[in-house]
Amino acid sequence: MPALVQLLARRLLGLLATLLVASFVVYTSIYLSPGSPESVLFGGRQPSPELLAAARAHLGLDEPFLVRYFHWLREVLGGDLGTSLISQQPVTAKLGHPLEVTVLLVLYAAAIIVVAGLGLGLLSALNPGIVDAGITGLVSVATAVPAFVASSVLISVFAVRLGWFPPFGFGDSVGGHLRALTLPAVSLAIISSGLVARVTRAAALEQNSSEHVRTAVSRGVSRRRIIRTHVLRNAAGPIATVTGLQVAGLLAASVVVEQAFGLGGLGQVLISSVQQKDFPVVQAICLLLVAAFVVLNLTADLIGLLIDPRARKASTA
Amino acid sequence: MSAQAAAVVRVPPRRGWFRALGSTLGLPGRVSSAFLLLVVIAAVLAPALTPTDPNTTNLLESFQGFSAQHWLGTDSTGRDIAARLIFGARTSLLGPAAIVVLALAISVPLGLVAAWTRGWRAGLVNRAVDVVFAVPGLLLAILTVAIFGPGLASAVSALAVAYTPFLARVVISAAEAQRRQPYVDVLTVQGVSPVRIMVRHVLRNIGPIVVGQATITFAYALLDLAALSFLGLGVQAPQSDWGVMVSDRDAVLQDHPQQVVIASVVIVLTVLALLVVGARLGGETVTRRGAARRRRKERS
Amino acid sequence: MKVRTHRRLALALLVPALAATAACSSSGSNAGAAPTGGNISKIAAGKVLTGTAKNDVDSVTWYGDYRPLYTLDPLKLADYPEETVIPNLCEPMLRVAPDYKISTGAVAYEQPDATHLVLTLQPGVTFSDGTAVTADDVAFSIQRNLDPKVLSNYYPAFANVAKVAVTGDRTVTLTMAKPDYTVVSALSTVAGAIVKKAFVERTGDSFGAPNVGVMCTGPFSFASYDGTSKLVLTRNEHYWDTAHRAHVKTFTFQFPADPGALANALASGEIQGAMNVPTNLATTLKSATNGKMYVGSEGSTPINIDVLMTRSTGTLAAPKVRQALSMALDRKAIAAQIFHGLADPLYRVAGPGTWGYARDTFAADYAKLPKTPDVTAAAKLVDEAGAKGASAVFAYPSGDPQSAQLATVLQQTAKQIGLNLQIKALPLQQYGNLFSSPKARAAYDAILTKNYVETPDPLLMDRLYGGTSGGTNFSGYSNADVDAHIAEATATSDPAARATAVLAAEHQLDQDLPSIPVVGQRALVFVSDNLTGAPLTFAYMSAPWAAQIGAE
Repeated sequence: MPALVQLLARRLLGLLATLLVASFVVYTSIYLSPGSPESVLFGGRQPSPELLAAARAHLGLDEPFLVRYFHWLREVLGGDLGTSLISQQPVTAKLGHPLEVTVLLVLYAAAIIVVAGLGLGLLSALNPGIVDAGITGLVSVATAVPAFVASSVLISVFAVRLGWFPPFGFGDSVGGHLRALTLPAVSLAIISSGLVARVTRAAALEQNSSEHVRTAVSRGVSRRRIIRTHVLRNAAGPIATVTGLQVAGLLAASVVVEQAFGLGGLGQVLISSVQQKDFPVVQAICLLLVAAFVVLNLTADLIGLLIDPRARKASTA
Repeated sequence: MSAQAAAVVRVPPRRGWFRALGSTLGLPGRVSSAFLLLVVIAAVLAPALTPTDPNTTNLLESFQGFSAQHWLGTDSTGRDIAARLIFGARTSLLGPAAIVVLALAISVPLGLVAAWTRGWRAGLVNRAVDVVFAVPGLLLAILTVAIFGPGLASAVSALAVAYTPFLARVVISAAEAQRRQPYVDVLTVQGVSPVRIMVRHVLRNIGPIVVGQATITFAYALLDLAALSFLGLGVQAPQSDWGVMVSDRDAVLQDHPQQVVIASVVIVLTVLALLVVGARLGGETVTRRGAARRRRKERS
Repeated sequence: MKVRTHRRLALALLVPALAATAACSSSGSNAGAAPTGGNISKIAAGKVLTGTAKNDVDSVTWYGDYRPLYTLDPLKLADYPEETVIPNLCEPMLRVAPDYKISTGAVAYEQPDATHLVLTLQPGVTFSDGTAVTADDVAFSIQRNLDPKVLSNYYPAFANVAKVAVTGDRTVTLTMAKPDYTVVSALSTVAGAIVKKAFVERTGDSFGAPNVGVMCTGPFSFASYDGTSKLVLTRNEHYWDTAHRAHVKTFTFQFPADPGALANALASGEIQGAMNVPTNLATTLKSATNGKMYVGSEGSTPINIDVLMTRSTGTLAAPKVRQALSMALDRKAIAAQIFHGLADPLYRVAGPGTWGYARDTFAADYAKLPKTPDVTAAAKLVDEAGAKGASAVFAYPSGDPQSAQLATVLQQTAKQIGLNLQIKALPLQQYGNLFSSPKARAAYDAILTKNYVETPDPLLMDRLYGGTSGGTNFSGYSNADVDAHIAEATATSDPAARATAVLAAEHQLDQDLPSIPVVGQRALVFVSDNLTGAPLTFAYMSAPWAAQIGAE
C-alpha cells in the first residue's frame, strides 16, 4: 500500500508541475499575440491617449510580466477568472452555461465510447468468423471517420431528413438536452469507440488464449463466468487506460462538434474569444481544458494501475 | 503502460527487406500502400492529370453535376471539382508530411537520448514530453492560430509540437527495449561508441515501429488539419484542399453536396489506408492466429 | 483472410455516396433566378408587415442575426445584431413606421431652421422601472453621442451638433454649427434612444453588460443574457405607450453563427422567425413546412455589398484601376449565382434601396449607368494605368460563404484584367476591427462591406463613404466638389433640391469610386406559420418591431 501512496504522491506532484508550466505557457502565449490587449476594450477604435493609459492601468498592463502572471495565478486559485474584455462579464459567469454543455457532451460521448467500444470489442473477440470480420471492418472504418465528417452526415440524415433529433442548439429541460446532444455525442465518439473496440478485442483475444482461460474452459466453467472473472478482469487495465486517454482527447475534438451543431459549449466560446482577442476568457478556457485533460489522463493511468497489479509493479520499479 | 508500449518489437532481416516488408504489410497493407501511392502520384502529377485549372471560376456553370466536361461536377463558383480534388491532394498531404517530418526531427534524437542516458537528462525529456502531452493538439493549434493568424504555417508548427510526444514516447519505449537486447551489450563491450550503436543499429531496428507510428501520426495530422480548415483556422480558401472542400457547408445547403461527400470519402479512405499501413508496420495488428502464436512462443 | 472485409466496406461506402451525389440535379445555370414556389411569398409593393397580430403569445424565439451582441448599450456598436435587438429595449425617441415615416414618439420634433432642432418630451413617458423620463434624461442620452469617453458609433451623424441644452420643463434644443437637416434621421435610429441618466451614472463602464443590462423606455425590459447564445427580454408592463403594448410576454433571441444551424433551427421551429436571413438559406427554407418565406423585390433593403477602398496609395488607388475592376465585374452573374437571385446588380452605392424620396429622379439617372461588363476595355484601362501585373490585397469576413465566393470571383476577375489580387479571410472580430482601426486597415487595399443606412436617404450613404470626414471613408478620399454638394444637400430640406445636389456628388463618385458597388440585397424574412406582425422593411433596425409580433 505505501508504495501505491508514494506513486500517487509522485503523480500528483507531477500533475501540479505540469499545470503550472501549462498555465504559464497559456498566459504568455496570449500576450505574444500582435495587437495590444487594451485596444480590445475599445473595439479597435482609436481612443485618446488618456483613455488608453487609464485602460492599461485598469488592466495592470504596465506592471512587469511575472508580477502580472502571479497576480493572475493568485486570482485564479481564488476562483476569480477575470473579466471578459468584450462583454464586461465576469468570466466565471460567462463560462457557466458553456461549461455545463461541454461537460454533458463529453460525459455522453464517454458513455457511448465505453458501451460501444467494450461491447463491440468483446463481441468481436468472442465470436470468431463473420461477426468478428464484420465488426473488425466496421471498427477499422470508424477509426478513420473524423467528427466533422460524421457531424455533416448525421445532421443531414437524422436531423433534417428524418427529424429524429434537433439539428441545432442545446435544447431545454434534461430530456431536451439529451436529445440535442445525441448526434453530437455520437459524432464525437466514433473514432474513440473504434480505438477502444480494437484494444478491447486485442486484450480479450490475448486473454482468451491464455493459460487460465484454457484451464477454466477445460474444467467446464461457464462461458459467461470466464468472460467476467478472467477475460475482463485481466484485460481491464489496458482497456481502461486507452478509454481514459480517448475521453481526455474528447475535450479538444468537442470544439469541432460544438461548432457544427451550434451547441454554445466551451469550445465554441474559445474559438470566438480567440477571434475577438478576449484574452481573459481564452486564458480561462485553455487553463480549464488543460487541467481537465491532465486530470483525466492521470485518472486513466491510475485506474489502469489500480486494476492491474502487474502494471503497478512495473511502474513502481 | 501506454498502448504503444505493448507493441511487439520486430527485428526484420537485413536482406530481402522488400519481401519482408510485403509480408509484414499483409494483403490489406499492400492494397492500402498501392492506394496511397496512387494518391501521391496524383498529387505530384496534378497539372498533367487535369486540363482544367482548379481556381478558374465560372459562375454560369456553378453546381453542375457529373458531365463529360466536368467529371465530378462543379462547385458554387463553377470551379471543376475533379481538378480541385487532385490539386488538393498536394496541400492535404503536404501539411501532414511537414508535421510528421518536424515531429520526427525532434522526437527521434530526443527519444534516443532519453532512452540512453540515465539521470537528469532523461528525466527532463520525460517531464517535457509530459507537459506537451498535457495540451491537446487541436487546442495548441487554435492557440497558435490565435497568436500568429490562420494559415498552414501556424497550424503545422503547432501540430508538429503536439504530436512530438506521441512519437517520442514510442521511440523511447522501443529504444529502451532495444537497449535490453544482448547485441547492445556485445557492441558496447567491443568498444563501439553509444552514438554509433544508436544510429547504426538501434535506429535501424526500431525503424519499422517508428515509421508505423509516424504513418498513424500522418493520418491523425491529416484529420486535425482538415478539422482546423473546417473551423476556418487552417488552410485558407481559395486554395484547393480536401479539408477546405469538406468545410463548404454552403454546398450542402444548396443541395449540391457532391463536393463535400467526395472529399469526405477521399479523406476517410486515405486515413484508413494510412492507419492500416501504420498498424502493420508497427506490428500492432492482433489476429487470432497472432495471439495464439505469441502464447505458444511464451510457453516454449 | 478475415481482415480483408474492411477494404470492401470502405468501397461499399463509396458507391452509394457517388450514387447519392449523381442523383442531385445536373442543371446548374437555372439556380440563378430568384426562388419561387414552395412556401415563398413575394412581398407585394407597399406591404410592410406580414400581417396584424391580434392575440398575445407567451413566448417567442427569434434570430438575433449572425453573432451574439457585444453590448446592450445602444450607442456602442452600429451593426446588425445590436440594431435588431436593442430598439425593443431602448426605443428611439422618434417613431419610425415600417414605411420609414418619422413621427412623434416619446418626443416630438420641430426644426424651425437649418441650425436648430427642438424636441418636446411627451407626457407620461416612463422608463421600464416605472420612473418618469425627464428632459435631463433626453439631453443626457443625446449628449452621450458626442462624449469622447463613450465613443459612440453614431458620432459622425451628430458631427454638426454644437450644443445640446435643456431649454424648458420638457424641451431640449440642439444647436448645429452648420446647416443640417439630417440630425432628425439620426434621432430616429437607436442612437436616439432615451437612457436613464441615474442608471448610466451608477453602472458606469458596465452599462450594457450582459449581467447589468440597461434602463430605457422600450416595450420590453431586459431579463437575461448569457453573453454567448441566449438573450431574453420580457414585456414591459409599465410601458408608457399603451397603444403599442407588446403581444409577446417572453421574447428570446438566439444567434446561430452557422447558416446551416440557422436553417435547421428555422425549419424545425426552434427559432420562429428571422429578418436578414442569409440568402444562401433560401434553397433549404423553400421547402420548410412550418413557416413562410417572404422575398422582397429590387430595392427592398438599403443593404449594399461593396468593395470598399482602404488605401490612399497602392495599386487600387488609381481611379482608372478602380474603374477597370468595376467594369469587368459580372454583377448579373454574381447576383444570380452567389446570391441566388436574392440580390440585384448594383451600379451605384446609393442604389434603389436608398431612394426614400424623389424616386423618379434618382431612377432616371441610375438608368443611364452602363450595365454590361467589358473585360477587354477593362484590361486596357489597367494597361493605361501602368498597373498590369500589380498586386493588391482584399479582405473579407470568414465564415460567410457568400463573401468567400464573392472574393474568389473578384480574384479571378482581377486576374482576367491583369491584376494580381490576393484575398484574405478574417475572423469576425478582426474584420470588425477594420471599421474602427486605421492600423488594422493598413494591410489591405480594399475590403468587403455589407453597408447600410437606417433611413433611406442617398445623401446619408454618400456622405458615409464619399465625404471627406465620412465614417467609412477609409481611403482618404477627398474631393472638394463632392464635399460641397454633400454640404448643400445636408443644408436643404426640399427633396427635389436635395436630389439634384446628391446626384451631382454621385456623378463625381461614379468616376472616383472610393467604393465599388457590387450587389444590392433584397429582403428575406422567415416567419413561423402561427405568428404574424413581422416587419418586411429595413425599418426594423430603428423600431421596437418585436412589440408587433403576436398570434393571428
